[in-house]
Amino acid sequence: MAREHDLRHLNSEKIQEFLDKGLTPREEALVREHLSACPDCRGELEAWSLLFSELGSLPELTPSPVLSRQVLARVTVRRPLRERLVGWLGAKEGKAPLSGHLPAEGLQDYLDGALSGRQSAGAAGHVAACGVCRSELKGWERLFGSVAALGRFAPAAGFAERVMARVRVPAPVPALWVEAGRRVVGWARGFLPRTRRGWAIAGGVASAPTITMSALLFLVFSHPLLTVGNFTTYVSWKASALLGSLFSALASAVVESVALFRAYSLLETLAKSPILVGVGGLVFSLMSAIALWVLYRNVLAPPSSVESHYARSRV
Amino acid sequence: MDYAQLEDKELARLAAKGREMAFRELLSRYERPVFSLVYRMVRDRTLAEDLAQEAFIRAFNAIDSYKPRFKFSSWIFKIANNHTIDHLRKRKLDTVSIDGSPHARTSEEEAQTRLVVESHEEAPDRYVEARELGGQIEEAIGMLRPEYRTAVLLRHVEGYTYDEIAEIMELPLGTVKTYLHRARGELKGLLAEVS
Repeated sequence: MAREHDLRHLNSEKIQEFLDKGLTPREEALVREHLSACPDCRGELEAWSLLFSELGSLPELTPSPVLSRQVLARVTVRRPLRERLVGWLGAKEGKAPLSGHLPAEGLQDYLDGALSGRQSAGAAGHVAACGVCRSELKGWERLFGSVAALGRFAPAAGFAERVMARVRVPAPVPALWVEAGRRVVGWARGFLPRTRRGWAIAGGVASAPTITMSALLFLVFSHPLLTVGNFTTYVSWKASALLGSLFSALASAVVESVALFRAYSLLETLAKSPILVGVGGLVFSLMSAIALWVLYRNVLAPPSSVESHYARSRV
Repeated sequence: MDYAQLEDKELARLAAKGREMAFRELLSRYERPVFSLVYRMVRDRTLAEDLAQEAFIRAFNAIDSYKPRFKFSSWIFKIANNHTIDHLRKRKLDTVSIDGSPHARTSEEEAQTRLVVESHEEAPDRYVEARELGGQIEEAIGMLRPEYRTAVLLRHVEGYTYDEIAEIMELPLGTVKTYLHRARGELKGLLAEVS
């Protein structure tokens, strides 16, 4: 019969409970009484006792130094409600790590300058008082410094030329017109209103003549004898008369001008000498050519060709 | 006109108006930063030159689409990053260590994932890459996911803020923070293993 099921002996569970001091006083007394009379159970007791002793003498192992920090940094505890409310008002998180240390992400954000003023001040205060976090922070600082110290690499020679060979440079706009246009726009912008009130005033001032003219036209044409056709005829007659008188006055001024008479006299004198006429024509042609060349260089010539030439000469 | 004194936005405006020198000035300002980012992402010099070149060509041929309210540097980095990420996805490149996969659990797995160098004579490009990217920190960066790598390089090498990185990578701000935190944690772990 197996020992475990032999009612004459103690089973292993009872012996282990006896060694663990897990029996009641009455049960322990019964076990002691049986052990004093049963050599088999005494032998079994010795074997279990030896095992218990060997288990008790196993050495304690030491985990990695970061293990406890990693565990504690990820375990949170709910602080009392009052503390959480105070913390929520002043900080981002309402929970604090069980260990009271700053988490790795918090230290990194502190180094990155990504915390708010208050959070940063809190982190700085904690680091100043906590040697563990100070050491951790230094580790992160070293890592940040190592990565930041990485240099930049240069591509192979000719990289810029290979890129520019495939870039479509847009056709340039003539510089003179661009500059003139920019200046006019800049000058005009100075007169534009900058506030809503300014725009309202400008709009009122601009619309006042229109409103006034519309009102006047209404008053005028509301007269039964005055029609649009009659008015148009009258205006055109008046305009023709005005233009005619202006033209005749101008013509008289030109014809009767002393300066013009003197110029005509001079030309008449000069025309008597063919040499003078030739020289005059030559000078006039030369001046015309110079004027056309200046106009071409400043208006029609593409600026990039000029700048490219300058750039090539610099390189 | 001294193009070196002009701001990026003014240069972009002049480039859109047809000034070739404006293009060249922008290129000279950003060819190294853009090439460096792409090179560290693909870890192949020849490929990085091709990708960076293509990114600049695309950007310059679409200069009219640049909006001055954004930084020009963010715009050009965005184009370069997107182009490189697209290429990596097409090629389905993986970060492989010459010593075997970092995720190998047994020595047999590590041996199976180890790269075998067939020739003892390195090609010139590979020699240059090994010299340029062979440092501990460079190797550690090379083992990060492409998105993590981009975030770390933009933050610590190029000095962009979280918001600017979010704009370049077209990601939410929270995602950028998460990428940076995880990338730095992985770098710290990788460098601690080496030391």
